[in-house]
Amino acid sequence: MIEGARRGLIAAGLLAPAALVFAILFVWPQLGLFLQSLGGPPTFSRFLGDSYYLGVLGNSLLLGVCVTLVTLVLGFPLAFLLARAETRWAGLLLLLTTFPLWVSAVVRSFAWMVLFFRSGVASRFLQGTGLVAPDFQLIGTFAGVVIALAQVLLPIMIVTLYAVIRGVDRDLEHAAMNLGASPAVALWLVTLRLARGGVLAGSLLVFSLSVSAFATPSLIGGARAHFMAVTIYEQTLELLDWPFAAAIAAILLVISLSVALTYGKLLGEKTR
Amino acid sequence: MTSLRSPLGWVLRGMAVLGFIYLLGPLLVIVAASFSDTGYLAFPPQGFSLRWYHAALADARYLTGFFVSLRLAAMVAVLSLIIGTAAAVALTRFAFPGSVLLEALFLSPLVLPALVLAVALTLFFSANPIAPPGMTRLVISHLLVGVPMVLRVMLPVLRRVDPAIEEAARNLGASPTKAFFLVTLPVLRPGLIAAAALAFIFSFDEVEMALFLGSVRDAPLTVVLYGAAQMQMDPTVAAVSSLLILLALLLMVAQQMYANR
Amino acid sequence: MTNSADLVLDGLARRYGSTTAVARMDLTVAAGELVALLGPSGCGKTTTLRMVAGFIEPSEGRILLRGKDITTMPAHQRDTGMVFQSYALFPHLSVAENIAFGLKRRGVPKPEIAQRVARMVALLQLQGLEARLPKQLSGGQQQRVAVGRALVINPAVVLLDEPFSNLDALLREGTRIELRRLQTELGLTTLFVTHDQAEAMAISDRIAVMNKGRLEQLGTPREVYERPATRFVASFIGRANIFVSRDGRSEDGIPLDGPEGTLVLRPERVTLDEAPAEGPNAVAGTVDLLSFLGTGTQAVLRLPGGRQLLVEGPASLADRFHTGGPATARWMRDDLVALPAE
Ligand SMILES: Nc1ncnc2c1ncn2[C@@H]1O[C@H](COP(=O)(O)OP(=O)(O)O)[C@@H](O)[C@H]1O
Ligand SMILES: [Mg+2]
Repeated sequence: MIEGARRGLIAAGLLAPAALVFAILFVWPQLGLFLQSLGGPPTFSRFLGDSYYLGVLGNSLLLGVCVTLVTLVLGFPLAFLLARAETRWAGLLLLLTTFPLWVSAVVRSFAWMVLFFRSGVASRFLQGTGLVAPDFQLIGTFAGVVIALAQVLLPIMIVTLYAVIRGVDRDLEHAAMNLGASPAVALWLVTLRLARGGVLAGSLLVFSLSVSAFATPSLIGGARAHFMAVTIYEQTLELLDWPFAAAIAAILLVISLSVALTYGKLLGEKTR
Repeated sequence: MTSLRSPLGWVLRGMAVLGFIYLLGPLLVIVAASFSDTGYLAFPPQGFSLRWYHAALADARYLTGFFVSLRLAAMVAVLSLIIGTAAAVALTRFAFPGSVLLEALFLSPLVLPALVLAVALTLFFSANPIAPPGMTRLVISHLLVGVPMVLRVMLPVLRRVDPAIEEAARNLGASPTKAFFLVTLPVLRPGLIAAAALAFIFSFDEVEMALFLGSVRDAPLTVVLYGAAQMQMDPTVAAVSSLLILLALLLMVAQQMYANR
Repeated sequence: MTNSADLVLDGLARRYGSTTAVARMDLTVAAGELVALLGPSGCGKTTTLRMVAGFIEPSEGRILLRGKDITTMPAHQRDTGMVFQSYALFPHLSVAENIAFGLKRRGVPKPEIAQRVARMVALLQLQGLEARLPKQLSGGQQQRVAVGRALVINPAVVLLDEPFSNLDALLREGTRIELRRLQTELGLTTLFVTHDQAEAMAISDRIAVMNKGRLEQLGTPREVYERPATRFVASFIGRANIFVSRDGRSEDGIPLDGPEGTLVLRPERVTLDEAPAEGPNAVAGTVDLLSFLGTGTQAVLRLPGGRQLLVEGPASLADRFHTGGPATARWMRDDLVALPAE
């Protein structure tokens, strides 16, 4: 341990670079974003008064809900089995599960484009069922975006759930079974009950990432991708309406921040 | 594993297998499609040819983009590692008022939309007369996520390490500098490698900030790919994607081997 | 005295803001002597030890090691060997490399390092484990590596911070005997921190009893037990019945024949019988509890005034008395030990 003032100086020195990066590149620009969206023509009222833009917001929120549900249903079994596996393969499987995170979302979305294209396997399968038009393609559909984005975000859900389930003492489940609960009941009453906060936290994280996702909705959704991030992109680089784009970005920021605050609190409480 | 032998266990297993296929299947699809001997993207592939790989390597945009991305990611990884680790040491080894809040602030870019960060930074740089050129701009912008990624890895690592080992080294005659290099650094090594790998791969894979802040002439590979994927279903994109998947695999294996050595 | 004094703490104090962790402490440890710093958790033992090692700067006072003032010397230049409570073994180094660490820093030639490490490994019965990493060792083995690493450098003073607290009871006793044997054989000057009074009694030449940052008493185990200097020492070391005697009576009316003032009566000095209590140094009561301890029996006698008198006697006490029944406690005049007036 180093003493007093010298200690303080060292701590300040270690923190200075990060503090500088955050002050200049984070705090300042984010405040600037709000200021920009307030300056000039009334941007927020334009967004909130236009049913088209409200539809975009609704679309994004719906996307968030759907993607969260898909990742939860597919992610929980994987996370649970990986957390409870006692074989030496478990580590390798966990690694494989997180491998997609090492690959750009652009590449992963492109993989879905190959399948969703008019002559792609998935679209041809649907055409074959006769439920859709012969020239149907999943590209440009809401369902296509959900399927692709859920796959892109699934590893994040699994990693979060894995950590939470690992944190639940297995003997609690054993105790429940010892007292007469069937495995399913023990899982429901004990493990899931204790993992509840963490499950909710993982869901909120995935929700927040889906609502604000850009690459996948833009590539799979194509020209008809009415989602928040894609709209911001159009307003800036294509229509050059920066104040309006800043306003939409500010709305997205507020949504993400409030979701993040909620799940940060939940993760803090997950042991309860 | 008592509970897994029940019917419920089998349901869970079945769903896990489905989840696994869903997760990794598309990556295999794209690799398979890249070898197709057809003028358009085909899955299942027809024939076998390397012609799309030849086409990809002959296209200067991809090659330039690859080296731009490599340079970008390397700089972001090194800078994030230094800045993030220093901050993590300060946050874990020194108690000071507001450290909890500061930690939350430092980690917050991880939960904020990349596109919002990109828009805010673009506005910031355009209003700033001394804005740096494209590459530098993108590097420092990526630090905004690279530093939090390093922090997220290093904070728990530093909290797990017994702070007494450094004192033990000094007690046995190592100067503070020596103690750091002989004891602290080797113990932190797996964490540092994982953190650097994460920051590298983030910067290499990131597309939103790259679209807004990167230079148009020297566009990073993800931006080139994004543009190409939007245009048409070009098998060359599949070939480049496959190469990127291979690169990611090699990086992950290297990180695992090096960190666990 | 100054010739054989290896370690001198001279008015050593440490404050954190308004709290005083250690208050002006004077302590001398002679060459080859083992002194235990004993006291309840939070009394300042670790702070004292770490000031000697150089990890905490004193607010006041001086530290002399073999006559040299080391108060402001950096930790790595002090000649102390510390065994940490968490052991603080280097997780990335093998057993042999952990033990060799201090020798390498001192520039000891390679062949000699190998030789000294091998000797320490043999001395601590760690043969065959040299290549293992700390996490591949049991708790007891880790503890011995930590001791070996501190002793191999032949430090001027060995500092131990609750070195046995992570071991189970049986292992703790064996290791304690081992350490004491090693310490006397090698003639190591040692400062030993513990909160366990039985441990301190068993291992040390002298005990420094601390309370709330203050040194309450310094003496041999027998001295602090038989002639406690304060009420705190009397009740922290062993068990004690404490009376405040004035005009031949305790504060709760028991007739006492002994000195005036605060008196200590050890439970093993009290005898029990069935005869009525007459005269001073005798009191009748009801047996509240009888517990068989193996070496004897402990009884708790409830007195009319409400006091619970502790008694320790032979195992046969359990046959002669029963819970809820009457008994009379007696003791001799000499058994009442007066504490010095405060
Ligand atoms: N870094 C610190 N800051 C403030 N108070 C401290 C610090 N270190 C120790 N103390 C206080 O000093 C007192 C003595 O602590 P310590 O020496 O660790 O006790 P012991 O080892 O006897 O249990 C305690 O009351 C503790 O709360
Ligand atoms: Mg202590």
